[in-house]
Amino acid sequence: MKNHDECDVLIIGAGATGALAAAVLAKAGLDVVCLEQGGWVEPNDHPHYSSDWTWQRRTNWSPDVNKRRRPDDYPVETNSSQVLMWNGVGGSTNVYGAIWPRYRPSDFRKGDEHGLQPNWPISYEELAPFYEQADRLIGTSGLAGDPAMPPRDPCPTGPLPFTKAAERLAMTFDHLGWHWWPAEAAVISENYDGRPGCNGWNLQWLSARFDE
Amino acid sequence: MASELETTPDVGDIGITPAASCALLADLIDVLLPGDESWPPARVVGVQAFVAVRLLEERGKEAFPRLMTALIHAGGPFDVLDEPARIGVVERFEREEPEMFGWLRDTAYIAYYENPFVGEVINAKGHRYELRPHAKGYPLPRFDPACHKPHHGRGRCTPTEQVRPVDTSKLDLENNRTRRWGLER
Repeated sequence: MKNHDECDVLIIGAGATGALAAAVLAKAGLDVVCLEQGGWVEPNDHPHYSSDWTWQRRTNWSPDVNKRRRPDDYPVETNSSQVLMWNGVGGSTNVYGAIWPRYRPSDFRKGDEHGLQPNWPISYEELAPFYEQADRLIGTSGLAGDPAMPPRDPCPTGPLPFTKAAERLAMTFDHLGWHWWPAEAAVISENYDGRPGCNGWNLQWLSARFDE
Repeated sequence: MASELETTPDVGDIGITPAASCALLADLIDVLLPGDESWPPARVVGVQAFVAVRLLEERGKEAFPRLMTALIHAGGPFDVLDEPARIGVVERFEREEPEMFGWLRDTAYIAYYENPFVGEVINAKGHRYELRPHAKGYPLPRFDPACHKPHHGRGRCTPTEQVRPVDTSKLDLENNRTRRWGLER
């Protein structure tokens, strides 16, 4: 690691947003420094190779910082039942569920639609090209064509497998007349950019439970 | 060494030997997950040992005598009781210590399904189940647009340029307050 007295861009926090921004800016030729309050998480650090991984996901690898006691953690006082937070490179993406829904256009214009809070200074339409760029970097899985959202480019990787659980939910939503659509996720459904696609380790079990 | 001592339970103060407290926990586990002709009893696969270790790791050494006290208060030990009475003890324990009961129930279930013998039963029932599924995953059919793409046509979206500001001038927002939602509920 170089010692930087000066840099073009200093980014505080190497979570989803900071890390993506750092990658884009560095590839564009800028000298970027990311500050992070925790260490690196290596693939083999994860509990995935232990048969007690379920327990570890509830304790030392819980998404909730208040349930962990790792060296980089500190408690957060809040009324929230669960505090998604990870102090380290990658931020909360180290433990999150990786569902990546975009904000809806109406989220940006609450002032116009409800009058109870200001509009965002930008619209969905202005932000959309950057959503597309981020999706291409990540390889976001999903399905274009949701009538509840503006048109978008095809997702870089297709939707995740349609499990029996999803089928059951879709049938129920149809019965109730509710809208549903395959979720966009930062879980690549096929090999992408040198990374292996999702192997369905979690989806199979969820599916089996609905099969009984 | 000090940290090891701090996580060693001390049940002598409540008048129960370590062997008896171990049996008390095992009997509780037995009521929660008794097993049947195909599923092994949780006690037989040793769930109580995992629960005891995790109780100490997560809640400290005081948690163990507190659990023993609660079980005795609910009607334990179990060894002289018939099955309905054993279930009654656990039901009282659940009513009197709902938070502790919930933690123990969840911890016991997790330890049970981490067990290789239990995994073998799940596979024998036709559900492929790996104790460490992340490495190889499970084969799943890909999303098939012909079958799985929604055709309901529900949902709509208005382009921002077509949205006009709502008129809130008659709502008297400066004076009207609600306690039905928000932080002041």
